Amino acid sequence: MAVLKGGLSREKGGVSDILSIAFMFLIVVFAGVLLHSYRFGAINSAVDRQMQLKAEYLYRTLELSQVENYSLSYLGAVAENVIGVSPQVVPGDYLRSELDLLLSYLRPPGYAVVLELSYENSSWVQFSPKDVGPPAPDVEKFTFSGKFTIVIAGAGENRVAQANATVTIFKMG
Amino acid sequence: MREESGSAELLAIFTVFVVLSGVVALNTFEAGYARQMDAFQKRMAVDTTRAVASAVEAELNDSLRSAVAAAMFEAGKFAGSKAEVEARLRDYFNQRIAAGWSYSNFENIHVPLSDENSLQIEWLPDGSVRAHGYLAATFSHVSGAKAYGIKLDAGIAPRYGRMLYLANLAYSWAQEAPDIGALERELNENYAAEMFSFRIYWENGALRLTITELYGGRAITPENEG
Repeated sequence: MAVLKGGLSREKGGVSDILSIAFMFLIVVFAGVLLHSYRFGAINSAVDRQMQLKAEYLYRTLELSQVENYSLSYLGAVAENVIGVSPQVVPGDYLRSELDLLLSYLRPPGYAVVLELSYENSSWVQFSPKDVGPPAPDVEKFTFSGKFTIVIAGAGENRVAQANATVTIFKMG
Repeated sequence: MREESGSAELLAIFTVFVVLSGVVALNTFEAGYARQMDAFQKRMAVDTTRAVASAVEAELNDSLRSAVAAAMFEAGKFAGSKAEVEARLRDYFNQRIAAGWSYSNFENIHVPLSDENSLQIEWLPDGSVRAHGYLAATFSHVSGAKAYGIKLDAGIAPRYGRMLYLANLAYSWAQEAPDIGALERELNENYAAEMFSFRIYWENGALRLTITELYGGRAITPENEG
């Protein structure tokens, strides 16, 4: 009986202990969530950095690699098409299909690539994969841009033509 | 009874302890996180600065190649001298530099105009040109990352010097030749191994000669206005 009474009084008096334990449990849960979110924040930043680097490397690749059967870089060939250099070295249809092959090979899995070149009123926009549309405004995009310059012989004051080039990578829905 | 009052005190101390250690932990995590994010941002800024410097360098080298080809073509139409080709290519190349660059998140991109010291033009023995040099450029990112310098190196295929020499030589022969058709055939046979093609013709009372570099050059045409 004495034991039973003692047990009962311990149970009564243990309410604050239970509260402490519950409080500690909550703290542990919150700390876990906090640590997790900080941890994933850093990982997200690292992923962002990698994707930005990929956009820059993709631009560089387009700048250096040449269209098959032509000694002209992809960016150079597209810039000539956009600027309207005559005679045209690489036919537009052939260039589009070659670019499509290259971009589908180079783009990261699960991501889409948009290549845009513009000069005055003309522009060249190419998506890879073909059926993907422009990225939604809320989708995170990684962009690298530059210029491609062609000095056109005999073009007078407009001799130095600069096409704006942009490579964008974004995650597909 | 003793346990109840003891637990209340313990809870109070424990709560204060938890709050204090929570604040300390939060500050520590936040500072560490901020350092980590700052390091990532700086790395991204360095990557971007390097990539922009590299893109500008590649673009300028392409522009230089393009400027040399355009200068050769324009000077070649009037059998211009090598000095004229050099003057034109420097002018066209500097026109591109003067147009400048604008990148978001960059405080300043400064590329100085080229001159005889920063851009050397070498005429090679086969008559082609090699342009090389170094521009003391500066790329300053808003985060403080900086990149310096642009290396220029462009080799141009058309053998302008050789074409100019052959054009002047062939033109002097054409002026005295009784049959320019026979001379054209003979020139094409003799210089076929060098991959040059000749065309001699009369146009508006003027004798014209066009020599084409079959490796990829355009044309050079001395004209006789009389």
